[in-house]
Amino acid sequence: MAILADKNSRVICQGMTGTEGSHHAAQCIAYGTNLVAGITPGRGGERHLGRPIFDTVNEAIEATNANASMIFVPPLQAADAILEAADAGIKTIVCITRGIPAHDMVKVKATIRGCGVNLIGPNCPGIITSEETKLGIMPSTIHKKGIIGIVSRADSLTYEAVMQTSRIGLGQTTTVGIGSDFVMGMDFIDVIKLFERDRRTKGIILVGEIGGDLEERTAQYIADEVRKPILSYIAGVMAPPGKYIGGVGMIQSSGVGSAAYKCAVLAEAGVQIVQSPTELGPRMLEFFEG
Amino acid sequence: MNLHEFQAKSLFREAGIPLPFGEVVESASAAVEAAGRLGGQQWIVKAQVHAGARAAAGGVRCFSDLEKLRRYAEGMLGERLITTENAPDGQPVNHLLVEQPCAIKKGYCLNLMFDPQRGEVIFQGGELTSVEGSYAPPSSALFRVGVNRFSGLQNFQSRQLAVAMGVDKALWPPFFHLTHTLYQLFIEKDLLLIEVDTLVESELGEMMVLNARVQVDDNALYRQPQLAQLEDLSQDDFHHDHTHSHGLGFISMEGDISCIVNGTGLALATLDMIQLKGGQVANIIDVNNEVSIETLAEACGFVWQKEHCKSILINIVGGIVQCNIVAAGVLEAMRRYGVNCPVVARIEGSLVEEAKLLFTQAEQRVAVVQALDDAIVAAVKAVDS
Repeated sequence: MAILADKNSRVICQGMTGTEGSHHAAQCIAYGTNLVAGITPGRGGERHLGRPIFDTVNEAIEATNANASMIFVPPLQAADAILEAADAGIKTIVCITRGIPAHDMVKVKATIRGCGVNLIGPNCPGIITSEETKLGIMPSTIHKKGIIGIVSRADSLTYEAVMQTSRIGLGQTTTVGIGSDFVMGMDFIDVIKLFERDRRTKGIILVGEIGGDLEERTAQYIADEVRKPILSYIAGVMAPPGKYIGGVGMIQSSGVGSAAYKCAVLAEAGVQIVQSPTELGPRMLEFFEG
Repeated sequence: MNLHEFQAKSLFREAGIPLPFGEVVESASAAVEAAGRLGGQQWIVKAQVHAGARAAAGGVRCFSDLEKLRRYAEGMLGERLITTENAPDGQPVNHLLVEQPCAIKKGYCLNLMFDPQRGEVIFQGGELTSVEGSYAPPSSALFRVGVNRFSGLQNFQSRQLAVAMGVDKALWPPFFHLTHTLYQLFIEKDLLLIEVDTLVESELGEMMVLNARVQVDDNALYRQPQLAQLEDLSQDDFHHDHTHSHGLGFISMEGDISCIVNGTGLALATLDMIQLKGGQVANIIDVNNEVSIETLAEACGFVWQKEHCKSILINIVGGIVQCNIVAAGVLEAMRRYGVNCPVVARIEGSLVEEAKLLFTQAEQRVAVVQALDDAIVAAVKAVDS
C-alpha cells in the first residue's frame, strides 16, 4: 500500500468534462488510474471518456464506492468542489486548479482541519504512485516503480528529481507535488510523515525553492522524527539578491526565505544538500551503496 | 496587488475609520490649493509609492510654508522615490497626499493577515516606541490573536488586544470599533494584508489611523471590481521588467546566456547550474502552457534587443507546455530579430519529437542535448564559440 493513492484507489474527477479535466483524465486512465466517475453539476446521467457523470460527489460514491478525487474545476468553484469531496468522506483530494482566492482556501483549511482529509494543492501537479496510479498532470513516462519518495513545491523541478531517480535505477514509490500557493493543503511535513511510515519508501527527496518559510518549518520536524535518508535541493542558491521573481518575491541574501538559510537549517537537521538537481540521483545512490 | 496609501485610506474612510483630513493631488499647484482648503498652519505631504520606509527616503515631509510645500511637490512629482524597500531603481511618484498633521500622545501598530496553516485571520498589535518625539516599531514581539474564520472576531479578542497593546480604557470603545471594522474590510474586500503601522491616540483623545498599507488578493480581483480599478501598473515596472505585458515571467541579469525555461523552480535551478559551471546568465524567460509562437517570439525579440546574448539555452521539462511551440517561437524570434548565436536545446515533454524535428531542419545552429548537465556545459562553452 503506497501513500495517498495506489492501484486500488477508486478515483473520481471533479470537472472531468471541461477541456483540461478531459485531457488529463484521459491521460490518467491511459496510465492505469482506476478512474470510476466524473462530476459535472447539471450533466448527471451522461457518459464521458467511457465513465458515468454525476451531479454530486455523494451520488458518485454511492454508485462507485470512490475514495479519491482530483479536481479541475475553475477557480471560482474550486473551494466548493474541495469541500464537497471532503463532506462526502473522500480522504485523498488533489486540486490542480490554479488561481483560487486565498480567502476561499482559508475557509477550506479551517473546515477540513482535524478531519483526516489529505488535500494536495491547489495549483500543483498532483500525485503519482509509479506504475500504479496518477492523480495529476505530470508526464507519465518518466516515472519508474522503486523506493524513493519525492515531495516538491517546484513543479517543473519535480520532473527533474523523477528523471534522476528513474535513470539511476532507484525509481519512486510516490511523487507528490504540493504546489507553492500561500494557502496550501499538505505541506512538506505532512507528506514526509507519510513517507517515513511507508515501508516501501527507503529514501526521501525534498525539492524546495527560495521564498517563504516552508523548508525552515520542515527542518525541525525532520531532526526530531525522520530516520530515513533524506536529500534536498533548494532552487535559487545563485539567485541575485534584490531581484524580484514572480511567485518567489524579492530575493533575500540571508535570513528566513533565503537559499543559504534554508540549506543551513536543513543540513543541521541531518538533510543532505545538493548544489544541483542533477546530483539528486547519484547522491541518493550513495546512501544505498555506501 | 498593493494599494496606495490614499486608496487604502479612502477604503477606511468609507468604512467609518477616523483619519486625518487630506486630499490626493497630481500637481504642485493642486497641492498648494489642497493645503489652503485643509486650513491650519502645517501640512504633511506624503509621496505615494507602493513601498514602505518613505519617510527615511525623504518621501514624507511636514511644511508650514506654502511656497516650500509647492517647491517640494514640484520636485517630487514625476520623480522616482528610492526607499530601502524598492531599491535600487525606486518607483515613480505620480500622486501626493496632503494631510493635516496630528499631535500624537501615544502610537501603536496593528496588523491583520492570514495564518495559512491554521486557516485563521490573525491580528498582531503593539505599542510603538517613542524616541524624542518620533515613533519606531515596538521593541518587543507583537501580541497575537487568532480569529476563527467562521465565528469571526469576538469582543474578548479585541479586549485582549487592547490590554496587551496598552490602550487607555477610555479609548476602548473606538478601539473595538476599529478592530471590528478592519476585520470586516479584510473579509469583505478579499485582502491579504492590512498593516496599520501608525495608529495613534491623538492629543485630542481620538483613535486615528495615520498610515496603512493594504494588499488585495490578485486571485480575487474578478469579484472585487471596485478594487481591480485601483491597480497602478506604473509601480510594478521594477518588479516585472517588460515581458510582463507578454504574460511571461522574466528575470534580467548581467551575463551573456539567454535561457528559456518553464516554471519558476526550473528557472532558479537553471540559473544555479549555469553559475556553478562558470557561466553568466543574461536573462531567463519563463514560459507557461498558454504561450503561443507569436508571444514567445515577441518576448524573446524584446529581451534580446535590450540585452545582447552570446548563447541561448532552451531548458523545457514538463507535462503541459508544448515543446514544438517553444521551439517554433524561439526560431521565429531569431529569424525576425537577426539573432544568430548558437542554441542548446534540452527538451522533454509533450510533442517533443515535433520540436526536435523543427530544430534539425532549422538554418540556425541548434544542438539538441539529452542530459541536463551536458546542456548546461554546452551552453556555457557556446559563449566563446
